[in-house]
This record gives sequence, C-alpha cells and structure tokens, in this order.
Amino acid sequence: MKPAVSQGGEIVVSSRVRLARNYHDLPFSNVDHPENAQLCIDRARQALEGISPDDRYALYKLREMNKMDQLSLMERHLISRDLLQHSEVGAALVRDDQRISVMVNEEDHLRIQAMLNGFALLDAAMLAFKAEDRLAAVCDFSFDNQLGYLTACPTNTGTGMRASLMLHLPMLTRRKQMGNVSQTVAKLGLTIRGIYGEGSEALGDLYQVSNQVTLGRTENEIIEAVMAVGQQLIDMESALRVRGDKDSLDLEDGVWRSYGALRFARQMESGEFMEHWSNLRLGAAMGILPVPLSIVDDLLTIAQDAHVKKFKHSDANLVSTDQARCVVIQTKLEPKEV
Amino acid sequence: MLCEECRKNIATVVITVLTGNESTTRHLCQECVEKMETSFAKGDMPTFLSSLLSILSKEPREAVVRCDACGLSYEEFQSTGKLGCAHCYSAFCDQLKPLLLRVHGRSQHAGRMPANHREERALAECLQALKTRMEQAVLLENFEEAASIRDEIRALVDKQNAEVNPK
Repeated sequence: MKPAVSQGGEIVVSSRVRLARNYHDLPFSNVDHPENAQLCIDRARQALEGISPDDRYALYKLREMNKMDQLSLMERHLISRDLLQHSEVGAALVRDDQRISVMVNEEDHLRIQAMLNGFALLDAAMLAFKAEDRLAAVCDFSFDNQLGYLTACPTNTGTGMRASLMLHLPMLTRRKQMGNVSQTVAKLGLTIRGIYGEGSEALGDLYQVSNQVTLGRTENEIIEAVMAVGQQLIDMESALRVRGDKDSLDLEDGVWRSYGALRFARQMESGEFMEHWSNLRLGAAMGILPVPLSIVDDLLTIAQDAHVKKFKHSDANLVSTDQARCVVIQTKLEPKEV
Repeated sequence: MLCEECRKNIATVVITVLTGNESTTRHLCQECVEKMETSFAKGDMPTFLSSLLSILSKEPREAVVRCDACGLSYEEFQSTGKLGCAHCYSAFCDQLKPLLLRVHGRSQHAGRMPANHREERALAECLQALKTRMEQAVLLENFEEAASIRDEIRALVDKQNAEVNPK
C-alpha cells in the first residue's frame, strides 16, 4: 500500500501572487472620478507597453464588454468579482500568455497579479515584482515608511501582497477534515477560501490558501508561510490518496463513473460538472484515468458557465447551456488518435 | 442630547469648566458623572484625571473626524471599510493604529519599498550605526575616534539636507 505520486502539481492547481498599489497623487476610489480612472488606465498601459513580442498586454475595458466576456475573464481568474462591481471604470491589462494581469480601478488603482500552474509561488512573486517595477517607473505609489504601501482597505496595508495556492483536496474533504484544517490555518495568520476568493464556495473540492496578514512581514516571510502550509496540506492529502486498500475500490469506482458521465452525458449543469471534475482530477492525478492533468485543468475554465454560453452562441444546433457544456467537455476528453 | 463621554445615555448634567478667560461646557449623563465622583472618592486618580481631561479637552468628542484631503469621515470609513485616500491614514491615525495592530499583529512595515525610500532607509540605518559607534567610543573615552565619527555624521547629514533642499 503506497501513497500515489503527489508532488506539487497533483494537488496544487495554481499559484498566485497579487500586489495592491495606488498612485500617490490620486484618491483611492475612482468610481466617481472617471477622469482619474482613465489616467490610471493610461499610466498602466504606458508602463506595460510591450518591449518584445512575448511581452504584449491586451487592454480590456469592462464597460466596452458584454457581461459574458466579463464573466469569462473572471472564470479565467484574470479579474476578480470585485472588478465586475466597478465595471463602469474597471479595466484589465492581460499579458498574452495570461500569466500576468493588472486590474485597474478595482478597490485600489492597481491589482498586479501573476498566476502560474502548479506549486510555483516564488516564480509567480518574481513575475509580479517585475511588473510592479515597470508600473512604478511611470508614477510613484503611495508609500509610508512605517505603514508600507497604503491601500484602500487597511487589511492590505503594508506589502499589499496576497500570496495564494489553489489546492485540490478531495480526500481531506471526504474525510471531513477541512473544518480542522481551516482552524489550524487561521492560527497561522492564513485563510482558506473557495474557488473565486472571499465568500465563494469550495466547488470541486478546490480551496485557496492565502495570507491574511500583510503588515510587518516581508514578502518572503509571507510566501514561505503560505508554502509551508501548502506543503503540509499536500502531505496530508497525499497520505489519504492510497491505492490498493479496501476503500480504494470505492474510490476507483467513483472516479470511473465520473469519467463515464463526463464522456457520455448529454446535458450537465455546473454543480454536477464540478463534482465529476473533482473525481476526474483525482483519477488523473493518481494515474487511474488516462487523462493528462493539463486537460483536466483546462476543463475547469472552459466548461464554466460564461465560457459554455459563449460556445453555445456559436452553434445554432445547441439547445441548452448544459448540452453545450457536454460538447465542450467531450471534445476535450475524446481520446486522440496517434 | 447624548452624553459626550459614553455617547449612549441621554445627557442630564451640564458641567462648565472655567480656565482663565475661557469656559468649556460639557453635557454628561448621570452615570458618567457618578463614575467620575466615585473614582475621585476612591482615590483612583488615573480614572478621575482621564475623565477630567476628556471634559477639559478643546475638541468635543462628538466632533466628526474628517480627512482634509478627500473629506471622508471616520464614520463613513467604518461603514464601508474603505479609506478615501493616502492622507486618510494620517487623518485617522489615532483610530487606525489600534485597528492595524489588531488585524496584522504588527505596526511597522517590513519588505519591499519604492527605490527612493530604499535610499532614505539605507541612509537612516547608516546614521544610526555611526551614532551607536560614536556613543561607544565616548564611553571608552576614545575621544579622537568619537570626533572623527561625529564629522562623518555631519558630512552625511549635510549631504542628506543638500539632496532634500538643492540650491
């Protein structure tokens, strides 16, 4: 009886670092100041103007986009739910490889975010800092020697940094251990949230672990704390992912049933999809299913509501969103001929 | 009118304090007045003095604290949780300090800073190190070394002032 291979990517879906920054010469909220909002967009765009072809950013102004396109940016985690609340002034600059996105005119003038697949928090931080340096070169940020970077909400003051790991923890969830985990994590100044951040549900057994404290600790200390907890959760989850014991027949049965439903169902609503998706990822990570993790993780984005609705609009034969979802999933999961 | 001390009960007592030519009037409730009297009778001087000082203070407690730069009041911040601008941090300094300490457990920033602040911080650290060395030299009666460190400090301070106020 051996734990299945489980280093990083099998459990950590993605690593993300975001920095909250405000320009020193403007009030924080731009909701009632469209001219300031435009100035922030112009400054950010000027700062990130591409030097090389692999460093190009696309500008998305929310008020010029339809709801579906706005939501699909959120489903890709390129913008937050809060930016959607500021859609009159909100914008996002997204690098072509989608590893860096800069939200403009959210709660703070800038939310610089770097996101990478797997367990790569340090690399994500480096990307975010590089983008920050370029943005700071155009205009200084609000900074105080004692309090650090000044942000609209005092919970972000200091480093303005939120370092987070998105973890897939189906076994811990099934063994009902997440309640204990949340309490332990809270004692360490960290927090566990659902898939779309604050206030969201842990759909698909996905959890975001991130720091709460931003003042008085260096960025390195924060990253190390999040990584240490991440590693502990990886170890705890891995220890439960065992094949060959009496429970594993149930586990494998559940995984294959979900695979069957995802391959052959004709309509599926999003809640059911997330349940099967969790089994699919568990099966792929444990080597039970012949599906690469990269495909499973792509599905997490492209089979969500906004993406699926956009796909449905492109095909007149599709009668419902839930039918369109099945087509999207099955196209992706279809075994490729060699 | 609510009691200016506890801001819960109706004010039933008016206290007028005369200081020189100035008079200060405060409206208090019976409970707060009794608390003051009891603390005085018990010899609890810190409590009595703090109550008295609060009455004597020029700014009535119910005055709305506002940020001069953006006009946000502290009450508005309390209801939204969002500050209006960078100046709010100094305008609401007294209220925010304990809040920040409660949220973060610490009150001094550590970590990255803008390039111009990095130089400032490095200079301040250098000056502090020199001052410590100078004090040690004085303690050891090594006055020649102390004088040379003092000159070094002066040169650094002059350089710093020249950068802040270029001619």
